[in-house]
Amino acid sequence: MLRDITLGQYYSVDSPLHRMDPRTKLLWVIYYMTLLFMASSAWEYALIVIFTAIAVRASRVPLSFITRGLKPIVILMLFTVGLNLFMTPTGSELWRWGFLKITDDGVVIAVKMAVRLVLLIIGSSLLTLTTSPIVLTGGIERLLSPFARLGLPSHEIAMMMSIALRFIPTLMEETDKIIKAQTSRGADFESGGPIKRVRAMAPILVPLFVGAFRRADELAVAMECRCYHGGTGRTSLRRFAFGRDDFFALVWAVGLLAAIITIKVVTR
Amino acid sequence: MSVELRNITYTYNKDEPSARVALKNVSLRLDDGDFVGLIGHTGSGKSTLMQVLAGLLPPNEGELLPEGKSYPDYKSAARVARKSTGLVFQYPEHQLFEETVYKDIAFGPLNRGLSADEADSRVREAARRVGVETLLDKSPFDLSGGQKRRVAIAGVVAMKPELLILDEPTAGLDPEGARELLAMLGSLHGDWCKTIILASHSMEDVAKTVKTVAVMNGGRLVMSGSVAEVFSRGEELRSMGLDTPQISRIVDGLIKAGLPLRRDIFTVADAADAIAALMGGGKNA
Ligand SMILES: Nc1ncnc2c1ncn2[C@@H]1O[C@H](COP(=O)(O)OP(=O)(O)OP(=O)(O)O)[C@@H](O)[C@H]1O
Ligand SMILES: [Mg+2]
Repeated sequence: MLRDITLGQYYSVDSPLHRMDPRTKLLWVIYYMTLLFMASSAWEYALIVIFTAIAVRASRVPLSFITRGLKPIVILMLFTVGLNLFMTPTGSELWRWGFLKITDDGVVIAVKMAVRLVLLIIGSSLLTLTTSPIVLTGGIERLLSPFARLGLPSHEIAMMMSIALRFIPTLMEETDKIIKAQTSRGADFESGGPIKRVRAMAPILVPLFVGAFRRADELAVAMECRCYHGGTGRTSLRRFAFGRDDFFALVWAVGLLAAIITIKVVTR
Repeated sequence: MSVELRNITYTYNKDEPSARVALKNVSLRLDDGDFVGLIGHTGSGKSTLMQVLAGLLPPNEGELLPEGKSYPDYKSAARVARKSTGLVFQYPEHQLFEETVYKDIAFGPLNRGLSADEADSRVREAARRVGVETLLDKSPFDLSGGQKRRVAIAGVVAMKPELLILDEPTAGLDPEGARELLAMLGSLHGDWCKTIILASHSMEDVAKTVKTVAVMNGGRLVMSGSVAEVFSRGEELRSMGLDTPQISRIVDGLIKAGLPLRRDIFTVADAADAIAALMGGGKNA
C-alpha cells in the first residue's frame, strides 16, 4: 500500500528528460507553475495539457506509474473541487438543496481547479521521476549558490534536502515492516471509529520516530567521523553542463509562452 | 498448525524497472511438531518466504493453505494464517512502542481478544519463559539490545501462536545470549508453540536447535530434510555460499586423517562424545 506513493520517487530509465541538466528542469518546473497560474481560458489549459502529455511521453515514465502517485491526493482534490463547486456564490443557479447550491460559475471554477491541481502534481512529479535525488539537490545547490553571498546556507539546505530525500524510501520500507510486524501481533488499523483509529497509529508511529531519531543520530556521527564540516571549500564530483536537451527545453519554453500569449491576445 | 505453500512466486516492485523476483515456485509444508531451520545466502528469499507463510505478503502466484485447507480467496486464507501465526521479524526490538515492557508484551494478547486476567497470566508466563520477568515495569527503551530483543520476542510468544516464525533471531547477539535464546526456543517447542521455523545464517545454531533444515538459493527451495541429510551434502551447500557447521568440518578432517568417526556429527557435544568414546573414555557430560 505504501508503495503506491510515487511522489518524490525516481524512475530510472534513459530519456531526453532524464539527460537534461537538473537546473534546467528546476527552472522549467517553476516556469510551468507560473504559466499554470496565469492560464485562464480553456484554450490555454488545453495547450498546457497537450504540452504536459508530450513531456510525459518524452520522459518514458509509464502514465500508470504517474497516476498512481495521484491517488494519495484524491481526497485533497475532492475537497477543493467540492468547496468550489458548492460555495461559489456568483453565476446562475443550476441546482439547489438547502444551503448548498451549484452555479455555472462554480462548475467552471471547480473543473479548472481540478485540472490545475492534476497538472501541478504531474508536472512536479516529472521533475523527481526523471532526476535522481543526488542530482536534484546538486542542481538546487547550484541554483541557490548566488544567494550564498547574502548569507543563505545553500550547501546546508541542499545537504538537508538530499538527506531527507535519501531517507524517504528507507522510512517507507521501515513503516511497511512495522505495520506488518504489528499486524502479526493482531493490531487492527482498519476498523473502529476515528478515535480508535488514531490510537491504533501509536504502535506504528512510536517505533517509526524512535527509528528515525536513531538513524539521524548514527548518520550525524558517521558524517563527523568522515570530517564533514559544511560546504566551504567543498568540490563536487558532478559537473553540470547544458547540452542539446537543455537547448530543446529552452525552445519549448519560448514556444509555449508564445502560444499562450497568442491565445490571450486572440481571445481577448 | 500445519501450513502449506503451493508454487509460490513473489516479485518485489512488480512492473517497475527495479522489479526483483524473490521467490520462484516455492512449495513447502509444515506439520504440527515440526521445528525447521531455514538457511540460505543473503538475498535468497528467506524473509520473503516467512512473510508469505505468516499471511502478511500476498504472493503473485501460488496458494497459501493454513491448517492444510484451501480457502476460496487469499483474504480469508491470510486471516486464518495470521490468527495462528506469530512472526518475529529481524531486529524485532525496533518495533517496541509501549511505556512499559509489560504493556508491550500485553499488546498482542489483548488484540487477540483475551480478558485482562488471561492476558496478565500470558504476559507473566511469556516473560518468565523468555527470561525478562524482572524487567516488566521498565521502559522498553531503557534496556540493552539483547534485553530488547527478548522483550520483543516475548511480545509475540505471549500470543501463544501455534506456528512461531523467527527471522534471524540471534543476529547481533553475543554467543552466550544466542545460546540462551536458542535453548529457550527449544523449550517452547512442543508445549507452547506446536510448530517453529527459524531463519539463520549460523549453521551451528541451526544444527543444534532444529530437527529439519530447508535450504533456499536464489529464490528457490533447493533442499530440505533432516539436519543430517542436509549437512551431509557439504559440497552442494558450499556451492551456494553456505557451509556445514564448523565442527562437522573438523570431524571430516579427522575422518580423512584416519579416525573411525561417524559422519553425522553436527554439534560440539556430539563430537566430544564420539571422540571420548574413541579414546576409551565414557560419555563426557
Ligand atoms: N522491500 C523490498 N523491496 C524490494 N526488493 C526487496 C525487498 N525486500 C527484499 N527484496 C529483494 O528480494 C530478494 C529476497 O530478499 P529477502 O529479504 O527475502 O532475502 P533473505 O534471504 O531474507 O536475505 P538476508 O539473509 O540478507 O536477510 C533480495 O534480492 C532482495 O533484494
Ligand atoms: Mg532476511
